[in-house]
Amino acid sequence: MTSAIFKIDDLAIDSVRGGVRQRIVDGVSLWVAPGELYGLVGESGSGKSISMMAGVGLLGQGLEIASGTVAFSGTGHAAADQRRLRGNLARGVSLLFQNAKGALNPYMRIGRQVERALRRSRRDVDVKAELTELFRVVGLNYGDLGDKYPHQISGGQAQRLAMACALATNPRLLIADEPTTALDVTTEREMLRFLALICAEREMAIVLIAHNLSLVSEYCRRLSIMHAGQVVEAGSLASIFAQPLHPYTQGLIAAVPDVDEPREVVPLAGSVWGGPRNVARCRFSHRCALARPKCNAGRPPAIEREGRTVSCVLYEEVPA
Amino acid sequence: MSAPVLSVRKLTKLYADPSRPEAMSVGVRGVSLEVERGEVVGLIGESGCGKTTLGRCVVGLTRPDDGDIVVNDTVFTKLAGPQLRKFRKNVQVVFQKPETSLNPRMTVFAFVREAMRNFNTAKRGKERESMLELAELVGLRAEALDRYPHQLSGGERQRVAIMRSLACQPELIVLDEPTSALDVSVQAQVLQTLKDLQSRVGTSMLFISHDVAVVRYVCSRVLVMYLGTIVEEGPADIVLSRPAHPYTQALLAAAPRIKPREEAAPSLRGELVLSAVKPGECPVRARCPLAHGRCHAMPPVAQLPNGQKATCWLAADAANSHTNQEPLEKIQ
Repeated sequence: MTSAIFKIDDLAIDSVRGGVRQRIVDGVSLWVAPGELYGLVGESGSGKSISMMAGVGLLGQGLEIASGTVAFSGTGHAAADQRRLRGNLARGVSLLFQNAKGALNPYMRIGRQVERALRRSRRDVDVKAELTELFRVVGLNYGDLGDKYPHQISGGQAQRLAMACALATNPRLLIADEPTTALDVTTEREMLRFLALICAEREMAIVLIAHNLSLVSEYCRRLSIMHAGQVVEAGSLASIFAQPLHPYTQGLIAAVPDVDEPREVVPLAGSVWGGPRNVARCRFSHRCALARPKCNAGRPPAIEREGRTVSCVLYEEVPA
Repeated sequence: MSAPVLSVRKLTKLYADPSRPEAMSVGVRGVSLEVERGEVVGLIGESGCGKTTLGRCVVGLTRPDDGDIVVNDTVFTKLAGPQLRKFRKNVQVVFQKPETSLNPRMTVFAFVREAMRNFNTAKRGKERESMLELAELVGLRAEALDRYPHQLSGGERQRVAIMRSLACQPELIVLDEPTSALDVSVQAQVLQTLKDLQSRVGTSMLFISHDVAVVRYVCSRVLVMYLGTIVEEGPADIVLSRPAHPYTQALLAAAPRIKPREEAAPSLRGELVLSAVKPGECPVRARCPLAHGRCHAMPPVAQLPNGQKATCWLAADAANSHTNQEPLEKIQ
C-alpha cells in the first residue's frame, strides 16, 4: 500500500440540482501503484468518470464533495480542496479522453499542439528532437503528420496524438477515460496494447476507465467494478473473473455474449438508478435476486475474500 | 424452396472524396446478397466498410448508383412515387440511437399508431389492442404505451423502435447497430427480445453490427464486409469459429473477451487508408498479415464446405485441396 502513487479514500460526491441533493458517488476508494494498469469498470451512470475527475480536481458543475481524501505522490489533500488537486495536473497527472478529435484544436496543426504541451512542462529541451521522439513513441511519424490538421487524420491517429500530448509532460499518472470506445476493434486492441506497454516501460500508473469488462480482461491485473456510485467488488482480476462473488459482477459477466463459446445471455433486471434514493443501502439491492431486508439497512460492509474486496452482506454470514 | 425475402444484386453506391481523387471511394461496390424468409443475417465490418450504406440502400433511404434490390419479387429500386411509398411498408429499419429515432413529443402509443395508420396495418380504433400484442412480443410493459420517450429507459426505447417497425408488418427489418449505444446489461435484454421475435414470429432481419459476439449470438448467417465488398460469408457458427479469410481472422482475434484467448492470431497492419488500396487488387492486401505476390490481382471467391465462401487466394488454395482430395476431416 505504501507504494501507491495515487490513492482515493472514501470519496463521496453529491449532486445538487434544483434544490435536490443526491449522493451519486458513495464511498469510493482505490489505489494505483507505479507501472500498474488499473481497470475501473461500470455501466454508464455508475460514477466512474465523475470519481476520477474529482480525484484530479475537475469536479463537474452542480456537484459537491461530501467526503474523502486524495493522495498523489505522497501528498494528501481533502477531496473538497479541488484547487489543490487540480495543481497535480501540472505535477505529473495527464488525461486521455474518449473523443480524441474533440480534444484536439481543429484550427492548429497537430505538430504545434504537441509542441505546446511539451513546452508547458519542460523548458530547455531540444523541441524538434523531443517532438520526433514523442511521435515515434506513439507510433506516428512527425515528418508525415506534423503539418496536418486534426480533420486530416484518422480516429486512431487522433487518439495516438492525444496520447503524445498526454505523454509530453512525462506524467506519473494517466487517467484514460474510455480511450478506445470511439475506435474500431482492431485499432482498439492496438491502443490497449500500447497503454500496457507504455505503463510498464515508464513506470507510469494508468487508470483505465471502461464500460465493458472484456476490455480490461487482458491487460489489467487489478480492477474495481462500480455500480450506482459504489464499488461493489475490487481486487485481483484473475480471481474475480475466475469466481465473481458480487451478484452484480456475476450478472455483468452473464450478460455479455461470448464469441468463442456461444451461450444464452442473461440480462440484468432494472436499471442503475432505480430503487430508493438517498438512503444508505446497497445500491444494487433493487436489481438483485438475492436481496434481503438487511441490504437496505445501511452501506454494505467491505469484506476481504480471495484476493479481493467484495461489498455485499452475503459474505458477512458465510465464513471464508 | 421459396424465393428469398431480400435479394441484392450487384449493388453499388460510392461516395467519392473530391479533394482526394486518387483515393478509393467509400461505400458499397457490387455487393450481392440474399436473405431467406425467417433468416437473420449479420453484416459485420469496421467503420467505413460500407455496411451502413448497404443497409440504407436496402431500406430505401439512399438511392444506389447501380444494381438492384429485390424484395419479395418486386424490384424495389425501380419503384417511384406512390408505388414506392406503399412499398416502404415491407422494409423497416431500427437505428442505433433510440434517443434520436423516436419522436420526443409523442407518446409511444401515438408514435406507433402513426406508423400503423400510415400503412393501414390495424383497424381504426383497434390500434391499442394490436399494440398491446406487439408490446408483449417485444417485452414492453403495457403502461409504457402512454409514456413519452424520455420517461423510458434506453432498453425500453430501443424496444419501442423495434415495436414500431413490427407495427408496419414488414417482410424484412434492417437493424443498424441496434445495441451499440446500450450498456451491457441492457444490450442483453434487447438481444433476447430479438431472439425471441425470431423464434416466435420468424421475422427476417438484416443485422448490421461491428460486434462479432453479438452477431454470433443473434444471427444464423454472417457476411463480413471490407471496403465495400463482401470478403467472407457463411453460417455464423462456422465463419466466427473457423474463419477462412485473414481479415475475419484478425477481426475475430481483436474482439474483446472476458476470457482472453491463449494463442496469438495475426493482426492487421494499421488502419484502413483509402489511398493505399489500388483498384483491381485484393482490398485487404495493404493491411493483410498474410499478403503475398498473388494478392496484387483480385482473388476469386473460394467455395468452402458448408456454404462458407471467402474472397482470398489462400482460401482458394484450401478449397482446391478440398475438392481434389478426399475430405480430410468431416465438418460437424
